[in-house]
Amino acid sequence: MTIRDKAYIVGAFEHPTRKADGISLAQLHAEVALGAMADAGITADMIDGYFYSGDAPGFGAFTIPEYLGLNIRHLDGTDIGGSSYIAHVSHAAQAIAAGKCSVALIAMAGRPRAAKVPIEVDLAFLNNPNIPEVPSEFPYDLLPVSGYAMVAARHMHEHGTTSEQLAWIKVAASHHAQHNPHAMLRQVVTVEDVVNSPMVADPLHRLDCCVVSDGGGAVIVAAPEIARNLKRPLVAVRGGGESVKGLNGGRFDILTSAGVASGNAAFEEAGVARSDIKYASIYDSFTITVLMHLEDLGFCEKGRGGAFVSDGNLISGVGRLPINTDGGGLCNNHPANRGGITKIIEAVRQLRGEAHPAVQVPGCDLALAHGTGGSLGVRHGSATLILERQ
Amino acid sequence: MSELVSPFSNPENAEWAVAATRGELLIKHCRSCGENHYYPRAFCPFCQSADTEFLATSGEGEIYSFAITRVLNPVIVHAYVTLQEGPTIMTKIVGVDPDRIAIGQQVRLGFEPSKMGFPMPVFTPVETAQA
Repeated sequence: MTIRDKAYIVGAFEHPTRKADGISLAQLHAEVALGAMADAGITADMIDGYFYSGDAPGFGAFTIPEYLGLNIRHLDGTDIGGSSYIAHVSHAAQAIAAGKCSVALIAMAGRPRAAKVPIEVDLAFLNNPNIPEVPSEFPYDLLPVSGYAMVAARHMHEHGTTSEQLAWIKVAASHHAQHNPHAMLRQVVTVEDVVNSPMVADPLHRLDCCVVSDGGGAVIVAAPEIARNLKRPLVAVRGGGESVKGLNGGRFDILTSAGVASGNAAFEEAGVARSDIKYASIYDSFTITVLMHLEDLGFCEKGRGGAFVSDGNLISGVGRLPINTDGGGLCNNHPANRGGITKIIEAVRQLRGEAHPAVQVPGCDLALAHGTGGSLGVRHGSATLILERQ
Repeated sequence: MSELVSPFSNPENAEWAVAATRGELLIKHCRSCGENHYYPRAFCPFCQSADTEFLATSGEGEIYSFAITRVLNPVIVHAYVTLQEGPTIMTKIVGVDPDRIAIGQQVRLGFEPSKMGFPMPVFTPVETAQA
């Protein structure tokens, strides 16, 4: 069985806020859900599948469906961090293909800025001594950025990648973000701006890091017969893949991510080539995240990522592979430190021809969305999705 | 079974935690497939055998990667070190100017007090240690 053409993304909505003062977490969840329903042109009574992750308040499935008054017959609470929602689209397509639901809501939201909760406090639940890896890792106070910095350092050591090459990824994001009125960082930056910004964790600078934002987003996935009766452009789920990778008992290559397996699975299911992809949403928690994934997804050879991202190759209208045309997590939005939903939403905008005219890829009929959750430098999950305009 | 030295020690890793208090780093060796692994656990992650034993390490290793985490005060040099016995482990580099650290440097084991109630393995470049 395949999910190819078994389900369509019919609604997508990104919350405009980046700092959610005066609004509760449940309200945010409701606003993104209602926003996606309005975009799709459906009513709440049509939703029979609910997909949620660690950002949902309460005990996941119990809270938001009750708060919103949804009648749900299929549930999935897969949590692979920021990439969860990309996996949810694939899972929703599977559930729809199996007849378990016909209209699935995938929603996420969070407000770490307004709540003033530092990320180490937000992630404190990960320090539970019952987690077997905690005693050998927790006392070192590894920050998220430190794990990614170790990936970058090793990439530089093995492949000669430079800080200037990584900086091009931020430069591309900023070129896109200047056209997005909701983006947190709209100022165009240069390679020099990035490499001259303060070191956070060598070799990553402040401008190698994504924003921290409030907000969220939602998408609606529906069965083909429902999608065809709605007035939105048809965005088909063509293939999906997911995988996890960790330290493997101490035998690991930090320069190979779970994206290799999730990407291969998605491309195989979709039956398309890397060169067919017109636009890609690539998870960008840090610049090195993008470089690693471009290699692991097969857009360039391992070790050639530095050359691939340079000289504007990721900028829409300039380069060969436009990515993150909303400004990405690096400049636009990384709600609740979980950027997967915005990756799906911008891919949908591109396929519908609804991206900002300055960044819209002409004739965008095939797009990819890829996410990673957890830490690329330690243990993480990846999910890849290939979507097609029909 | 060794006594538990901290809430972060458990029946699976108690020997490892106790060894740390006497300055020794233990990893696990699988009697079934012959592979070594870290962190120590009841089952070999390579062949799933329960026939594993603790193995004392030489304390010699090589820096696989590192990050100078400057936003922390004091600055911490986070690292992965590949032990002579095989496994690459998460750790810190201490006792050296961070700007003199490089991937591939030979390092030697030491221990540092930790917030878990038993000391944790850290490493120092061999050249610095001898200087």
